[in-house]
Amino acid sequence: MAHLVMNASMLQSIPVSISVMNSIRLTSAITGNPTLASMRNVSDSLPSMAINVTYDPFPLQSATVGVGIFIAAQTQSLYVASGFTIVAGMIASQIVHERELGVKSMQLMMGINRVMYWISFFIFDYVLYLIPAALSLGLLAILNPSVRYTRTVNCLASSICTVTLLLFRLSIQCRHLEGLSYP
Amino acid sequence: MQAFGGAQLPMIATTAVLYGFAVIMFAYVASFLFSKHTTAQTYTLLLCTLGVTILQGISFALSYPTLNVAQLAQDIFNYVALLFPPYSFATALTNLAYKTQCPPGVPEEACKQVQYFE
Repeated sequence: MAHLVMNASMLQSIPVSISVMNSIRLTSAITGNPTLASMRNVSDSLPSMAINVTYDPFPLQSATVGVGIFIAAQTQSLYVASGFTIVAGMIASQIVHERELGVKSMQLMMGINRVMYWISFFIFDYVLYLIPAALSLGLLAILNPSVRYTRTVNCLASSICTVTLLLFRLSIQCRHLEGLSYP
Repeated sequence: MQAFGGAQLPMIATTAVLYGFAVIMFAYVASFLFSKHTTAQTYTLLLCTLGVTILQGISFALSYPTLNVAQLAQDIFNYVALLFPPYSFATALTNLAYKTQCPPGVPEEACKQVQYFE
């Protein structure tokens, strides 16, 4: 029996393993290895050979796992943060729309204080922001089943939530990109 | 998202509440760049999404151990990028969710590596 330790990512691993196997067959045929001789086929002049493949990788080091966790953390945070950016577009759009229609100019001409104008906008926008934010946080709270469910269910729920947030974000973006095509 | 819950949820909720202030102010400033409301909505969204993606990518690249980028350069980049609200929100989520606790099923040693991976 011969053991071959090889790097599976190495492209030359297959020819190397075939070469080693042929060497073993040739050596056993020349020297008459009794172990291999017992495996000899009746109609074959060379002993029968077989390759048993076992997969036994080295364990990941904690540094490698750490980098993996960090990448996963950044990706998930990116998706959640992207979901929360929808509000910025809505708010900017509302401000520009008022300016387009001349509503802002009219209010300033009527004597409204600029500070009051922006504070009123801010209070309205902040309350508007709190609604989806509270719903998103509620979703996160519901999808924290690490105590009640198995890890597989937990990962599945997390993946669904993450992908849903991302797709929701992309759908909004596509909708607005479509809107640009109209005059 | 496994770690975005439980004991971390109140802190994440606080972060989300504070993020509201930052992103609304950012939207007000960004609104002065546009003259059409449809353009403003689309490009503000694009700016936020692409901005946070690119900045997080750069941040990750700078902090990769084998690149040996000076800590000062990382800190300068990080502090400048934190002025961008979506990036600061994403960074806060990362820190809260993974650098202050060890998610279930992950070895403690790996979590320590994450905590020092900056």
